[in-house]
Amino acid sequence: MDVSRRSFIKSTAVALASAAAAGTLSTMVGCSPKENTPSNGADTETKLAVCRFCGCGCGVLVQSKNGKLISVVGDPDNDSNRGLNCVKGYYLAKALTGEDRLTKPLIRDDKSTKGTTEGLREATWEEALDLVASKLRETWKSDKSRLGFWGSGQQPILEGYATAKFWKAGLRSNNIDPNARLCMASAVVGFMNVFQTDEPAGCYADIDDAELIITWGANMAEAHPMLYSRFMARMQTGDCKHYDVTTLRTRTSANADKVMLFGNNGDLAILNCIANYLIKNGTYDKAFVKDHLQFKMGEENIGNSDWEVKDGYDKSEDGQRADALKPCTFEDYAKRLEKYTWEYTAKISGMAIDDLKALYKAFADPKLKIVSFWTMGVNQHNRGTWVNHNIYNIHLLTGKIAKPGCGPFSLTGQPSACGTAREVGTFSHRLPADLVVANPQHRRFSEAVWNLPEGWLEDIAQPGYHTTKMFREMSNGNLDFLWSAHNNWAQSMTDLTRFLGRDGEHMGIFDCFITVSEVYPTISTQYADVVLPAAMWVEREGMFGNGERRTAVFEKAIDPPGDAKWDLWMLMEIAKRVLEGEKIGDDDAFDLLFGKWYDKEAADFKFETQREVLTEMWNEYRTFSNPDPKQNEYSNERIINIHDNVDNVEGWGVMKMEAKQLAPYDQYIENHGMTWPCREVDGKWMATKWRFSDGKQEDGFDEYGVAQYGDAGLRKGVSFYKTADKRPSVVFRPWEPPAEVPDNEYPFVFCTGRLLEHWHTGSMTRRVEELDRALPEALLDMNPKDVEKMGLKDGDRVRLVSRWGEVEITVSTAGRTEPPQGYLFAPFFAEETLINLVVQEAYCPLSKEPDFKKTCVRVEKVS
Amino acid sequence: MVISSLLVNTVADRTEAVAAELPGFPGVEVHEINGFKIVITIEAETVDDSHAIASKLAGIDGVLGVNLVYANFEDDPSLYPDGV
Repeated sequence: MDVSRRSFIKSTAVALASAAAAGTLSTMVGCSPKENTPSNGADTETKLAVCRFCGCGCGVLVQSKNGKLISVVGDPDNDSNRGLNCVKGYYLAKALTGEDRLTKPLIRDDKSTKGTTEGLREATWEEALDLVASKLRETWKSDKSRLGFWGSGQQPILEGYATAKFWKAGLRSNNIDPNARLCMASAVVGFMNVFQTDEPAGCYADIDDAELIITWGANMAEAHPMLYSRFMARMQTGDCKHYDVTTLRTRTSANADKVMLFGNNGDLAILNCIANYLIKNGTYDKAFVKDHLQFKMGEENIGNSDWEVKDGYDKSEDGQRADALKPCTFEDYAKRLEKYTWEYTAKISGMAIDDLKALYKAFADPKLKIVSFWTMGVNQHNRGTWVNHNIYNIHLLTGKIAKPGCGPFSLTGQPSACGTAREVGTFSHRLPADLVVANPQHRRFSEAVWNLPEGWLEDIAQPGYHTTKMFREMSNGNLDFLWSAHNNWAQSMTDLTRFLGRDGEHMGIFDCFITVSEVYPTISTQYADVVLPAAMWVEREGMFGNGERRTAVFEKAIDPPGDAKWDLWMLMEIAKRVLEGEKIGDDDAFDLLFGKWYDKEAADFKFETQREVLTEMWNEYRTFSNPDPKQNEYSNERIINIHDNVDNVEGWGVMKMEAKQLAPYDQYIENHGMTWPCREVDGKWMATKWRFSDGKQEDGFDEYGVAQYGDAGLRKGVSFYKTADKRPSVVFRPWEPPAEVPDNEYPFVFCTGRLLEHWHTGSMTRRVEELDRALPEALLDMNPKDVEKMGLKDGDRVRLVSRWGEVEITVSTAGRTEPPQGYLFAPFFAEETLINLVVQEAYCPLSKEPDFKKTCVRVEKVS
Repeated sequence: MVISSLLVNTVADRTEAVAAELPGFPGVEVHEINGFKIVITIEAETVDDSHAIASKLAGIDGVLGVNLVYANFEDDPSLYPDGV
């Protein structure tokens, strides 16, 4: 680099950082990588993107030169992160360039090599696609209950949309589920039960106005570093406090005003205790309750999908009634809370009474603005949906919701868990845009948008295999075809002892034909019959949707390496082979589903650029939430008639799909991402930061949603217009114990999770030497007293043994977390320390999300 | 040489002390202090070196967070041994 270039880059660097700090040096250079200007270099291009790593969904701008990425800058115009990144941003380019990047299709001819790093040979795309399609078609034609697709919250939005359409409308199978089932399914079911619409009312900007932030089972400092940084900045103003409600001390505890420790599923009791005293002392918001809420009782003593009822829970008596609700009165609800006194709650949860009172006092203060953030400690819980309910309950009782600085907010773990897994229908029970397969009006509406014959989707009225069920069926030998993309199930699933066939009994993984779309070799590719090498991140254009309802585009900046291909092309090529000769009504099946953007004869898209392809797909997808043909040329009378229920079909209603209205594709580029619902006002598209909250649209409020479907003049100026009777449900959910409780044989509670350096299973971050050096090994964090009592010391190798399996690991008392006595923590990023071999299968009976946090284990010293 | 810029967030009464300590780290230069935020650049041979330095800054007493704003790695020999 010559001196002038170096000087230019350095002054640009200073200017950008100064701008992010609202400082004075931001004008010291006349240009920056924000735009394609000559002074950036004639051969340098700048593209809009979104960070590839965690669930924050930070906007970035990337520069490329001669086909290589040369710089990354936090996007100052993306409101999620406002120009800042965490230090993982250094590695956005390096994550693409690992030495073992997959660049050729691979085929395994000898199944006996499964489970090893050997046995895969290079193949042509033609051979690989023919093989995958023939296996899928063969399975589909013989017994479609024996096929499955496992997707991801890392799958870009429109690829998820196309996959869901292929699976649900093409194959008419609901055996499709994402890894988001492991991540925030409990939050989804909580949202749908309470509000009948998914995703939070508030946004990240709530941090900037909050006066108290409560983290519930969330290690944001490591798992959501940018948001944690934003909330540390807020705390520095002196106007905001932080309570960390947690089962172990983490980095997030370090700067908290109070660290409130609990255990034994005590969160359920703690939240009920707060609600109990709010009602008993008359410190809830009576007008808010009167104007907005309804009350319900849920089923209780619903058991667990555990060891005893391993494969039968969903169909068992408990499983069948688990999600039933019945209306009750406010008084009924209050009566059930009475048991949750300070003393009873402290005894159940282990939380100090002073801490319980501090939490109560905060919610009882009518003026205090409170944001609750939660992640996997709440969602990966054998009563995960219930805890979500109980958090909403206290925010709803106090009216602390949907206002700037106030709200319950479920954080996501992946960059497009919301945008893809939740919004386009890649769950086994969902259709696009909050619709569900079990609802006949939703099926008719989806048929109309997809131009399918009426009744075509009757075949998928029942949900398919959720994630744990899918892998159980595979392990039992009942799945003949599995395709996974954007995930690493052979490391991230629970009970790998069974699912990888290491128990010697459940060997289905060796017989099932497995296709893995991937960018690097993983444990999952070791079990693959075919590996399809994928283009990654900015090697193609795509969209992500983050946890605050922000949809954003990442542009193509460079070409993929070797023969790696865009996932959407792979999907089209496999779909066209599988659907060859098939009809939907009188139409060719493939052409009806995908012919608008793909030419099967040419084996290519009908548009020159990826932007044009995605725009065409987006126009179709956004018709779900823009059904009025007067405003959307892609809609029609059939669609709006079903939406408005013009035939007055009994049990149907007006669908209010505009509640998640989306803008045209180019608006997401122009605006550097937008939070839905998006409204067109005088030709200008505007985002909504606070759903259901009346106020000016240009200030981020839901002015047009409330005007269209809601009521004005209600308490706090909110109207929950998408919810049944416009009244969210406060549901009583009692304390019930974890699926496993410590005993003499398994005396420790074992919790798994993520740490800063390595994201998920480390398939990207472990390719980066420095990150691997910074955190080279998954250690077992133990309390020093437990270590001493057992005669262990730091560095000792131990065997963790549970009812489910065992794994060897190294003991540490100086790890990233500080567990209390009787509690253990280890991260899941290290494939050589496959901790999910010991993790229980039990899941929340409502959301089917597994409990990764509370497996009971014993610790044995390895001699 | 990899050039990056970052914001170092500090607790309110430690900003000056942190700013005084930062130039002691290799390649770190302080450019501006705005409230409790410090604007710095890091110049290091590789992205890995830059990350290692940035990570160490988080350990300074009084540092609440280290945020990356910009990283230019066109001259990182570990990333592009043949140049770009």
